Amino acid sequence: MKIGLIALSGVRVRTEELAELGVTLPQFVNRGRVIATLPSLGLLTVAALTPSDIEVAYRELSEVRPDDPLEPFDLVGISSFTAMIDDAYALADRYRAAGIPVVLGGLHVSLMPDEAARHADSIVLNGAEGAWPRLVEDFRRGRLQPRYIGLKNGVFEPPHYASPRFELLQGRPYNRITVQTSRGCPHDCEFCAASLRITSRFQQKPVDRAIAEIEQAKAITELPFFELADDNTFVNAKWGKKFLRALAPLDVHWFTETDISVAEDEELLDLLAESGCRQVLIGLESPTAGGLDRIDPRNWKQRHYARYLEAIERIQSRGVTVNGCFIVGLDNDTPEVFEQVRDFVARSRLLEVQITVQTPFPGTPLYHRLRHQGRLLQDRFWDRCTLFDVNFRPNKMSVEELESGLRWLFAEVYNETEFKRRQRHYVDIVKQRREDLRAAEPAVAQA
Amino acid sequence: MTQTSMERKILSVIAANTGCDPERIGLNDDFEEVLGLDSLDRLDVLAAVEDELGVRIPDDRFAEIRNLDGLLKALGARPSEIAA
Ligand code: B12
Repeated sequence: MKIGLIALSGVRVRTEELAELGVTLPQFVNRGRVIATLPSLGLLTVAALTPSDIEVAYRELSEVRPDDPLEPFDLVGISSFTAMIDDAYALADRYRAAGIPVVLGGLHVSLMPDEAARHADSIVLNGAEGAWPRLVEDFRRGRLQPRYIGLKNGVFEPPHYASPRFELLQGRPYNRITVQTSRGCPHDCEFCAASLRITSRFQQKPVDRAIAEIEQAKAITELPFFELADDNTFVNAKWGKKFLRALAPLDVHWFTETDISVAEDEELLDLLAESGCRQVLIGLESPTAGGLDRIDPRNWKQRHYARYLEAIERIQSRGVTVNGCFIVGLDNDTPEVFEQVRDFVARSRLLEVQITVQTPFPGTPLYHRLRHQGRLLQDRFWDRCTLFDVNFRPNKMSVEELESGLRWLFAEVYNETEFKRRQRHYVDIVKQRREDLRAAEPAVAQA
Repeated sequence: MTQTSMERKILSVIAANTGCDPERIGLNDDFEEVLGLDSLDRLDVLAAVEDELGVRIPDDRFAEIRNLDGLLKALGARPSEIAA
């Protein structure tokens, strides 16, 4: 038996003007190019959960051309994010029309199961853990069920845990590989459409398992750069330090997403730098305290706003760059927000910036609230869930103001002058750090 | 090898920062594509060069420094012929 697992890869920008702007904005394009080819960790995990006597093939949607004959599989599994879900459905429909059964799983399917079920013989909600092995057994017996509910917890513990099959990527040109160390995030922001939505509470992989995965993935690449596919890696500082100490000897460079509280622990920050961390992506979300009001149920982000600038400086002084993310179009944002973001970026001296527009991904609390308030611009706008397209009526500005403000802000933040300024700032930080380390050396020798 | 002392120094800085063998770094080897550095590694090299040689590379030139040749030019140094 042979199962084909097909990934939705690549990035998506719909608004033509932005796409055009994007081509000319140095830093923006850089990040897009770097991440555009990330493999699907979800499907590598599904592959690992497949009984070993079954052959598994990993494919990307872009490899399945509309005019080519379909590769003959006994069963097809397709992963899902919202922005390209219609492409996934179209492929699923094609396979089913050819008589090959299709299973759909992943984030979008978990959030919109009834819609997905119309394009699949079976759907899997939440993690594949706890569902896929059963599904495959049922399929072998000719008793495939229409719906399987996977685990929302305990996915990193035996008997459900399986180490992703990185070796399926061998020979493919990925310059970065993802590894996951945790699912979920305690902050529970209203707009979040990440793994939090398929998790009942924050769950973390034991350090030795996470490290073993990185070692396996490292073996298949020449120049390993890792992106941790986490929502918030350093929720637990004790785990974090143990992880970083184990990671340092592997001599890899890596990136992750976390929250601003990492800056509160000097030891953690030092370990972060020593372990090869090149960048932490932090959802700062708003340049003003008012903008952060009720983003998360406990107002955690708003309560930490006062420490933003100091925290960024502390992290970056280690040579670890901060990718500060801002969302424009939050309910408290007025047309001033664009200048406020620009000024905050300048003041904070962030080394990388990500600006996106608030996006009501279907199935999120934000989506339900805006729908209830009658503020969604269309009923179904999944292909516009790119983080750059406006899909709702903002609270304190017009749709047009939000769109044009975003374009203005892009040009202000991602231009050549700003790019150079950030590069110089990074070089100066590295030089300062070299000096500090030299100064610290005799002291270490004496100690 | 009739490399200039500046070149030698720069090569050893690059080697120390990248783990590449200095003997095998060609004048036109692209830091990112051939030596496999990422964009931050490349800036690390520039920082190390500035630090160890006590020079300052004009910010305007950062983008064009994609190989040893570009680095030498940005520093106003002429590369020796042999290193090519
Ligand atoms: C890596 C990543 C990417 C990679 C994806 C590579 C790939 N082919 O998978 C790249 C860079 C290509 C990418 C692109 C985009 N991304 Co992205 N990305 C991520 C990131 C950082 C990690 C995702 C991940 O690997 N998770 C780990 C795996 C293990 O989890 P998983 O995929 O959910 O898989 C599990 C289950 O869902 C299930 N499962 C998944 N697939 C299947 C399939 C079957 C058959 C079964 C049975 C089960 C199953 O089992 C798995 C194991 O439990 C997340 C943010 C985050 N922190 O989570 C954003 C995120 C997923 N991306 C997001 C967005 C918006 C985008 C883009 C639209 C951006 C853009 N403008 O282009 C595009 C969309 C691309 C597309 N083709 O549709 C949003 C998606 C929200 C949503 N609900 O759709 C997220 C959550 C970030 C955010 N800002 O909110 N992204």
